[in-house]
Amino acid sequence: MRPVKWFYVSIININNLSKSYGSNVVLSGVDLKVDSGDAVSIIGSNGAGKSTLIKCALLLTKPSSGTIEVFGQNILNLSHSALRKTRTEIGVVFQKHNLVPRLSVLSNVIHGSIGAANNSSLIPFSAMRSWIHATAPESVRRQAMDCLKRVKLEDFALKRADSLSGGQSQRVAIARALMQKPKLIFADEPAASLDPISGKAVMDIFFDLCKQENITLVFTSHNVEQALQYADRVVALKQGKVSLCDLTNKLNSEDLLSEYA
Amino acid sequence: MHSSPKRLPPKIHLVLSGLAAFIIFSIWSFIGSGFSFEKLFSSPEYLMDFLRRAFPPFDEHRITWDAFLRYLDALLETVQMAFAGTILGIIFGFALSLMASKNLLFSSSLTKPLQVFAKALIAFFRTVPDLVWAIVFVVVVGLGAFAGTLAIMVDTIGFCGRFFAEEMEEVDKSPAEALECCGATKVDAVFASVIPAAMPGLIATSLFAFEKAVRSSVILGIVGAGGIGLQLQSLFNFFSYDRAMVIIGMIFVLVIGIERLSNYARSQIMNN
Repeated sequence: MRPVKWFYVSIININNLSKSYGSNVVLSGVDLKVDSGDAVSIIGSNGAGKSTLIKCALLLTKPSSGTIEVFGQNILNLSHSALRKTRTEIGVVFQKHNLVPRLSVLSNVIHGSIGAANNSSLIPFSAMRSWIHATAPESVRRQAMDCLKRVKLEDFALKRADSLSGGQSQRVAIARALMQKPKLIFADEPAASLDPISGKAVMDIFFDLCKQENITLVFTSHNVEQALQYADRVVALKQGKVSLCDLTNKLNSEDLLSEYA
Repeated sequence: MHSSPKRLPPKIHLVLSGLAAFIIFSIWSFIGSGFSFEKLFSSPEYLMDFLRRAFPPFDEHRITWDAFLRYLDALLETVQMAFAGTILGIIFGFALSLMASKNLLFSSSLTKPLQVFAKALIAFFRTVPDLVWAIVFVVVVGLGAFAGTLAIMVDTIGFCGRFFAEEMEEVDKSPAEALECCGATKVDAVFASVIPAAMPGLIATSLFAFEKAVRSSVILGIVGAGGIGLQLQSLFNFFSYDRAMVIIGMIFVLVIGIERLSNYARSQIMNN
């Protein structure tokens, strides 16, 4: 188990977060605290603000007001390079896996190490060797193969990413996130575009890896059963506000379904 | 039962005024270009004279083997000019296209002026014809193949700069965003994600640029910028139409050959 730094326990601490696009209020006064090693599911109907919350936490979109602390630092005050450094420790898995289609599976996994390669050197473009697997350092390739092994896709390393099925692509995206050696993973509806069997397989692998390596996991989902099965805590959003936040063992599927009413 | 949707009412006044404008513009152009049926029908005499002098193009009494080798040498110089100019044009065109593409490297308000500048430079290189560039470079670096190479380079920068930028703008940017999410810089995201995705288009455009350069380089010699065009022009000046026909035949074989090769390479790249 990875030791938690003594000066913070909460990996994410969001206070009074609001986000509007013009007159359209997407998030309003959202508070969220996620502790190290937790698995938190964010549920809510379409347009409730789930994806916007994740985008704000990664600063992919700037919030209108509020504070966002990740790993104990207010990310709104970070410089560009400090933000990049913080992002190297956060894995992100999207609904649409977002792999580079013409490159090999191995190259896509290696891309997860680009941020760390930049951090470890002051020389500009030091990560350029990791743009494709053929030029990547041997140690990086070995590490990428190890990540592929953990998602059971080591035999697909040299296949092109666009030749994979949806479930396999999502597993490669998970391997890319693992390549970052992240402390935290955000997953935006990781199984939504998959059939139920592939979706369950992906979630099982994802959840087991996070538990084994004590990675904090925040995932959005429309599937209440999935939320109850994989999360320690469920946060429901309704019209941009937190309408429910409780431990999974105190909730049942009816409680969660009522949040969609 | 639902009735089928009605056709949109034709805007007849727009169609008629467009047609009238087209006819007026065509008549104006034909008058301005000095089009004359009289000249066209009185020309057979001159045409017969040209053909009599031009054929047979390869008469051993009139064209020596040495002359043929000299033309071949000039033709190879043409290919060299085209290839060297295209390579340089692709390199600089690629660099400019990275700057000029929307939502790529220079999209923030601070770097926007650089993007506008790169776009304007590409437009300038593209809109001035290659023959004009050749005249300029003959003045700057003197007569010969180097002036032609530079002219082709500038023309290729304009061509590749524009189409490379379009190829990269059309690529799905979500994988690049995913890379930026894991701490990669914008440059990393572009080179590791956008360029591999746009690669077939970039290669196809480069092959088109080479084909275009070969056709251009043939004509650039006429203004003194090296290659086979220079030979062709001097033969026409001395009314040696038979030798000129040999050169025209060689150009035909070269251009068709390059086009076929390039088509084959393009289809192989697009299919894989």
